[in-house]
Amino acid sequence: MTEQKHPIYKPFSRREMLGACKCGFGSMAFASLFGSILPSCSGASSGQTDFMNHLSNGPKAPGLIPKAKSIIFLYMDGGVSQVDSFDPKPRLEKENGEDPTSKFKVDATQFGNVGKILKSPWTFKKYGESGMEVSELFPHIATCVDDMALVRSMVSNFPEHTNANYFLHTGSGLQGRPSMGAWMNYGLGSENNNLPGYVLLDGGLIPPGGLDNFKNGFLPAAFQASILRPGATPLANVRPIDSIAGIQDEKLAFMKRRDQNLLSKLGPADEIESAISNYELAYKMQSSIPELTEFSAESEATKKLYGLDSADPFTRSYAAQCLLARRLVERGVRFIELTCPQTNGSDRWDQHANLKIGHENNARAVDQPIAGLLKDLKLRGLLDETLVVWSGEFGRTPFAQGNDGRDHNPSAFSMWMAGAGVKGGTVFGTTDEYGYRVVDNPVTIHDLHATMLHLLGIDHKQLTFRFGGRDFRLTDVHGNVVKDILA
Amino acid sequence: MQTAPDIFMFLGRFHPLFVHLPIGLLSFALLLELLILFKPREAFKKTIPFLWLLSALSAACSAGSGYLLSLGGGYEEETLNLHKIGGITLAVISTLCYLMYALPLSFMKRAVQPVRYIFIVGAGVLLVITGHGGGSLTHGSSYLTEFSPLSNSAAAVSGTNQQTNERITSLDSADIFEHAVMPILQSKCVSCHNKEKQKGELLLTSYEAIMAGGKSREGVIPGNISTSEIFRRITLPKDHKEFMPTDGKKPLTENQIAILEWWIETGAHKNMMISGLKPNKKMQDVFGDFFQIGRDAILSYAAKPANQEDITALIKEGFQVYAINQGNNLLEIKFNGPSNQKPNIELLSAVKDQLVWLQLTNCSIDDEDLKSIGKLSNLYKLNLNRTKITDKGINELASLSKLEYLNLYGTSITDSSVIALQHFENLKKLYVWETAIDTLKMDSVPKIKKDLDIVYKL
Repeated sequence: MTEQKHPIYKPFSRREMLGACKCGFGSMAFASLFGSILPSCSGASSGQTDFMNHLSNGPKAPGLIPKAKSIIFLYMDGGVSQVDSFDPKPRLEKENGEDPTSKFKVDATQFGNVGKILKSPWTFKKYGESGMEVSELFPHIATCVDDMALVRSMVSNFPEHTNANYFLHTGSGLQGRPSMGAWMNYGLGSENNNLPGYVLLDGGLIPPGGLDNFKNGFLPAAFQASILRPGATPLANVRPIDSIAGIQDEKLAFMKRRDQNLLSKLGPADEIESAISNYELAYKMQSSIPELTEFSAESEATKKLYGLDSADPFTRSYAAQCLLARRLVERGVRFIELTCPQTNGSDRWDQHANLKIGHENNARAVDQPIAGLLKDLKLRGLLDETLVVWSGEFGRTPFAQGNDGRDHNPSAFSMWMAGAGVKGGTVFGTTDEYGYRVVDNPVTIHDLHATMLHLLGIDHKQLTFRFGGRDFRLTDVHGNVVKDILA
Repeated sequence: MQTAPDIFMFLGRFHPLFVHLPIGLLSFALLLELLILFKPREAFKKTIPFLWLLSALSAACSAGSGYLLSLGGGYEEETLNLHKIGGITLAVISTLCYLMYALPLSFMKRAVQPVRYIFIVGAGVLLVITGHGGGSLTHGSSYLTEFSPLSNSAAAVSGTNQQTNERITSLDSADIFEHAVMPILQSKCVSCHNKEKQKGELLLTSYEAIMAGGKSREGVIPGNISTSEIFRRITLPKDHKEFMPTDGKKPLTENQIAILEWWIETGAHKNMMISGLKPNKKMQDVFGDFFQIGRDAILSYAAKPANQEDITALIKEGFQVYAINQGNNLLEIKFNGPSNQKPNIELLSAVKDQLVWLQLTNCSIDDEDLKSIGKLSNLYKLNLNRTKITDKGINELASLSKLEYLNLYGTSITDSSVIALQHFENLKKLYVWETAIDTLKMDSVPKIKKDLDIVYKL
């Protein structure tokens, strides 16, 4: 065998063997999902594997009639207090300052510093035809209640940020599982060849748990989030650094030849295949990203609607992200997540102290941009095919931590959805009179994921990937579509 | 989920074939035994052991394949167990019947004879029970009696049910009592409150009977939900003694309760169109859900697969082509700029049967092109936002009889187009933001087409 002299020839290691099998099994799961669209990817032919075709073939037809084509996930990092935002509790007002342990059983909290019952510093008003109650923290979002379905009965399994973040993003409290965006990207692909299918618009705050919230886990690497930073250069090297025209093209062509040569020797290897497709996409993004982030074509009225003219720099920053999110939706990107801006002196929504100042700063930053996004999507007809989801990883306690903070509370929090396939003006689920626990129609994170997939036209029980000997799902063995909030 | 090996499942699937053999053979054997009682002919007597043998063999095959089939799961546990035990016992009894003929037992004939008769009668009874169990497993337990004249089930009791089967497409043509209230009561209440059963002396099969109520008091007081007994009963806590429907039967859904509540509040009318009672937005949604109005009309349409060459040609010309979902072959086609480019619209006619959603946005198509687009007769959704079309071309679209959604934002159309478009029969959503329409006039002039949602401003 002459090939044995080749410097890069080596027999299959156990790891590569498993890797190759994984790809084969993955495609089998995929083939059963999408009929005969995807042939088996067990062999490399002339450097172009079928897996590469899977990536470049564009979107896959969903199994159900889809309502949504894209999802914008507005992640409220740190955990918004439900009793101060979307779940009014008059009883807190009445019993303000009383001892919570004499009223109900208090679970262990993260910091254990259980104070008195704390009424909301903000008042609630009814809005819209539906009469949904929203606190004065969100005067702009409140004008959109008739397009929103509010779930007051969300529950999480974890009282701590890192695990709760993983749980919200990947359906598992442990590190390393594929993010929901990666699952949706894997399931449906991007409608745009020049942009990735899963984009994370980084507001300046990467949540606890780090980038593992947005990774592909055991799915092929090409499905992970691409991160766009705020500001002038959303991506490194988005402008070609080679001064002589054509040099970059030649470099890339050379690199691709080498990679494919290696690939044809080793057989299918996710890392190499993904690297090739990433180089190709990165090249295309050198033209698609500057075009995407150029707002000059937007009218002044639109910019104003989002709050790009706001006096608050954090509002302006989040407004730019929301506008970018709409532009990504227009270009057929499947899943877009927005993280929060780092407001002055407030650690995300995580107000263990100084609830009033912290929540007000955070709310000011996101309120107008989110309302602007919903209205702009609606005017353009995009809200019919875009699902907007607003959620934190858990809620906060109705009693104080210390004097003026609130501790973590996974037993109840509020989440809302708006747009494609959602029944606007709905309020679903109830918490007890203190907003501490769910008493009716609890909705789990798995239910949330199942519902999001359902709206994209995917049955969450059918979207599987074979890894480590079993077919994994985003919803594991759980999840029920929350039909009551669907139109 | 399925844990049985494939070969088991394969063999198990022969069960529906096998089962009919013992049913026929056993019936034949039983008939022959009966005949022998009256006409003990020699020919009959010689046949009968052979018949029992065949019955035993076929019953064993059926029981075996049935067992394999049951490993696949998915059957109602209780009925399955009865059916399984019945089937196996039947196979055993048939075998014993055969053995009583085949073995040299004539020396104890007096003892064997009565046992044999017990077995024969037992086999007959078991055959009926097991056969019925099998039928219930495959077709559902109500399959047999659904159309029986003696049945209490909703379908048979209701005289009006046939009429309500017609599909309601608009609240203008839906009678609140006949099309909404009555079907709800039919589905959840009438199985106990009908002429045969009349639990609590309450009859819910006619308007008069509903108003009259039962033993406790009047069923419905128009305009007063708090004193209407029917409404009180269905909204009690589920574990309350007086909650209806009782005995763990399926309670009414939120929508169904909302409809009954609204019906009583608005005066419990008998003959009144829903739209005549002026439902608010929320009730319109509730009724929309209930009648499934305007939902997925697209679901009822399917086409032959499009030609691969046609699709390749479209992609070459810069169109993006997507399947709406798997199975119905329908297509969504998109051309999204740049604004100075003009897509080759003539190519679209090749996939006219499959094309249900066309998006030609931010490109330089004009009124002339609308002529070709007007011929794409299967379009449900059409996006022409930010193009160069004007009022002149709009009427070319009048031939799109299925069109439900039209997006024209960012074009230079005016009020006259909006008026013309209100005559499009199926149009439900129209986007005309950032056009040349007079928004003040839009605010003041009432819509001609009531169910058309026109989005023109914040």
